[in-house]
Parts: sequence; structure tokens; C-alpha cells
Amino acid sequence: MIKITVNIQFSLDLFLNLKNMKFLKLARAFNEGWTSFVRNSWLSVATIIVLVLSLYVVGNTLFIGMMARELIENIEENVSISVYFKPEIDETKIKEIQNELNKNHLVASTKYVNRDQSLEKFIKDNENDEIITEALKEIDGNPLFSSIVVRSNNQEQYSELAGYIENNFTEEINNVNYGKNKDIIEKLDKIISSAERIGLILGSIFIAIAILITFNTIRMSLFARRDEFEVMRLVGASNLYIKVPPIFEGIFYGFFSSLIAIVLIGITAYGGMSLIGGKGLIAKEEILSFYLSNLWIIGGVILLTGLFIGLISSTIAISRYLKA
Amino acid sequence: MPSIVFKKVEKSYEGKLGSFTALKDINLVIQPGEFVCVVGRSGAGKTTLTRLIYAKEMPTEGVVYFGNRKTTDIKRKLLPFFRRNFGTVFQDFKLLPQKTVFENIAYAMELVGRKTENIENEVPKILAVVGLESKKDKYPRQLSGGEKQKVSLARAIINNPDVLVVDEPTGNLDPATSWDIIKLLLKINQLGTTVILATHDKAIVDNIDKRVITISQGKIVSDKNHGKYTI
Repeated sequence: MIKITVNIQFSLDLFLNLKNMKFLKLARAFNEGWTSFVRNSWLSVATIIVLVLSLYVVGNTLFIGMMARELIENIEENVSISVYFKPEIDETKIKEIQNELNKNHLVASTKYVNRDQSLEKFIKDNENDEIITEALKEIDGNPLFSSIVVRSNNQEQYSELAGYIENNFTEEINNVNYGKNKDIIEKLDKIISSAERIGLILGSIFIAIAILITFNTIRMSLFARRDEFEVMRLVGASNLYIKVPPIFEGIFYGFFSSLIAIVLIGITAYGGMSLIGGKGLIAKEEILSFYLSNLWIIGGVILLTGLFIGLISSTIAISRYLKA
Repeated sequence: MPSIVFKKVEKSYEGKLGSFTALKDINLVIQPGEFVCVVGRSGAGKTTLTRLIYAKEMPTEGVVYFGNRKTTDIKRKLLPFFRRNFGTVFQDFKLLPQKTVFENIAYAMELVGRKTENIENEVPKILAVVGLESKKDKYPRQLSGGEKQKVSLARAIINNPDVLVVDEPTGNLDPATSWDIIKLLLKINQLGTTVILATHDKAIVDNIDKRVITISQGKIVSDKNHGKYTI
């Protein structure tokens, strides 16, 4: 019994020792990688610039894509069909039509807006426009029609729904206002898809260039240290022990480049995009707040991409060196 | 402690101009704790013989044993671990230029997973043995040839290897410094470490009165205890 306990204790101690030893070696490799990263500062700066540029393109593509998608979703949510009725159609008839529409499976919701409500809203929306205000005074009456605002659950169903309304209530309706938003959405969708495609291609090219340059930078740094590896081997260092510090070095390149790219995209969102902001679709402040509220996704993707590039480049570079 | 045995060892290299035989028909036994001088002219095969011992090279024919292990049976990825049985010292010192004296010695301890407090205790002790306590924070470029060789020696023995393989350690040093190095080697040997010294320094070999293996054109031409340099 005592022997078994002693053996278990011995095995546990051995396991903990091995674990501690591995952790100690990993910590030392981390330290070595950091020292080398700092020592090769000029080489590091050059690599970081290229990496930042690549990550900036990738991050911006993602950021703009996400923002555009959000924009489209917002617009889509506001898409509706406005059915305007002839002035002679009374409220009872309109309510009958509304009930009928509510029974249609394509309809998600309807809202009846009478002439007085339409006028009230119109005046409120144009209270700063003197010409419209004057014109309304001149008319001295309500020129607007009663309407029903119809919403559907699915963007794709609007066309079918509009056709149904036009065909079934021809006598009662003045006109059906549908198509304006649809065109905007379709155009935006096309623009965004093209931009995303271009961004993806550009991003991929930049990532490939970044991997190549990081790989070459690390290889140059390794070339300068090739005699050191030989000495390390002679002293008894295993290949893994020699490999890990340069891999950490590559990860540092990726890490710091990612941080810089994340800040730069934030700056772009704050300053540079004022060109787009405030032009009707989206406010300038919304761009920055959108970036900040999605920072964990955009920053996360940039950070992971940066770390991946650093890891892959350094692993390939050092593996080639230690093959011989 | 393991002995070193060469059985019918031959080492040749393939080159563009054909095959070149560096060593042939080597039969040799080195007992634990011995001090062996391997002498011969430049190109005689001294370095190849020492490299075969710590498996930097593998024999083309025959076998080299370290204890009961054949060097040719050791898997490639396990070679670094096998080499930890040996301390190695070279004519060109082979120090890591970006590391200080302390760090160069500490590196050998780090890679075998020694704890930081052990390293901090033992490196100053070994620096005291080689007389370089005051140089611990210097870089190799700031040291003389003799000092570099002492650092190299300190690094080689810090992990208490079974065998110390020393290849032309005095080739770049003046006679007085050379003697300092040799005295250190003798001291290390007295503590039980096998020392294999490849050299063509006649004065040293004749004065230390140890076993001398003479190589000429890749063959052992003499192997004598208390031998002299006779080329």
C-alpha cells in the first residue's frame, strides 16, 4: 500500500515537474522571441507597416460590408406599400379593404391613415419649409388622400402584394406607392456585393503579400542567425526549442500590426468617413458608434488574421531553416 | 559513466570530384574518466573522429558505441538529447553573439529545463572556476580569444556532461592562455569527466603526459598511454 502511494506520488511529482519544465521552456521561448523582436526593430517596423496595410484593407472591407448590410436591413425594415384611396371612398369602405388585406397571408401588418392624420404629418414634416406652408394656406383645405400602409414580412413578397392590391381594388384606389425603396435596396445591394467582392480580392492579395513579406523578413532575420542555430544544436537544443522563439517573434508582428490596424480603422471611421456620413443615409457619429459597438467582431477578425499571418509566416520560415 | 567504442569505423564524404575517405578502419576504446589527446596534421581526420563521438557525423561503415548505444540507432529528432551527454568546445568558440557571457552559459542550462534559481546559483560558480566573474555581462565581441574559449568551456561543462570533446581549443590562443585552458581541462578530468582533446599543439601534448592517439591520412598510426607528439 505504502509502495503504491509512493509510486503515485512519484508519478505525480514527475508529471508536475515535466509540466513545470515545459511551461518554463515556453516562457523562455516567449522571452527569446520578444528579445529578438525588439533587437530587430528596423526589420520589425518594415514588416509591421506591410502587415498593418494588409490588415487595414481586410478590416475596412469587413467594417464597410457590415455597415452596409446594417444599412440595407434598416431600409428594408422601413419598406412598405402605401395604398392611396380616391377622395370619394369613405372610411367604412377603407376599413373593409383593410380587414380584407389583413386576411391576406402576404400581409404582416396594416395601418390606416386618414386624410386629417396625413395632413397633420405633412405639416409637421414640412414646418420649416415656408413655400409648402404658404401653399397649404392658399389651398385652404386638405389635398391629401386617406391611405393604408401595408407591410409584408418578406422583402420578396412586396411585388406580388402590390400587384394583388392593384388588381383587386382598382375602383377604390388612387394609386399604390411602391417601387422607390425597392430600387434603392436593389442598387445598394449590387454596390455592396461588388464592393465586398473587390474587398475580398484586394484583402486576399494583401494577405498573400503580407505573408510573403513577413515570411521573408523572418527568413532574413533567421539567415543572419543561422550560425546560432548550429551552435544551439551543438549545445543540445532540440529543433522544437530552436523553433519556438522565432514563431513567437512572428506572432508579435501579427499582434502589434493588428492593434495598429484596429486603431487606424477607428480613426478612419471617426475622421475620414465624414465624406459619407451626414449625407442622408447615415450620420457621421453613427459610423464611429457602429465601429465601436462592433469592435469585438471587427477587432477580433483583424487580430486573428494578424496572428494567423505571423504564425504561418514564421512557422514556414523556421521550418525551412531547420530542415537541413 | 559510458565508454566510447569505435568498431571498424570508416567515414567517407561524397563530393563532386568523387568520394573522399576521411577515416578508415578505426578501432578504438575510450574508458570513462580518461584524458585522450587525438593528434595529427591538419586534414588527418581528428575533427571527423571527434564529430563521430557526439553523433554530429555518422560512420559510413562500422559502428560507434556510446555505452551500449549505437550512434547510428539514435533517431534524428532524439540526437539533440543524446548530445546533452557531451560538452563540446571548438577552436572558433561558437558562442551566441547576441547573448552575454552569463546568458551563453545559462542557455545550455535553460534548454535542459533547469530552474531559473539553479541557473542563477550555478553560472556564477562556473564563472569563478574559469576566472571570468567580472565579465558576466560582457558580450562575446567584448572578450579576448582566451576569454571566449573559457566561456565556451564553462558552457560545455555547466551541465556536468559525461564526456568533454575539445577540438583545437588553443588554435587561436597565445601559449600562456593556451596553458590556462589546458589546466582547466585537466582539472575537469580530475573530477571524473572524460576529456577528448583534438590538437596539433606539440608542446601541450608532450607536457601533459596523457594517452595520445595519432592519426595520419585517416588511420590511427599509434595509440599510447603517456604518449608524445610524434608527427
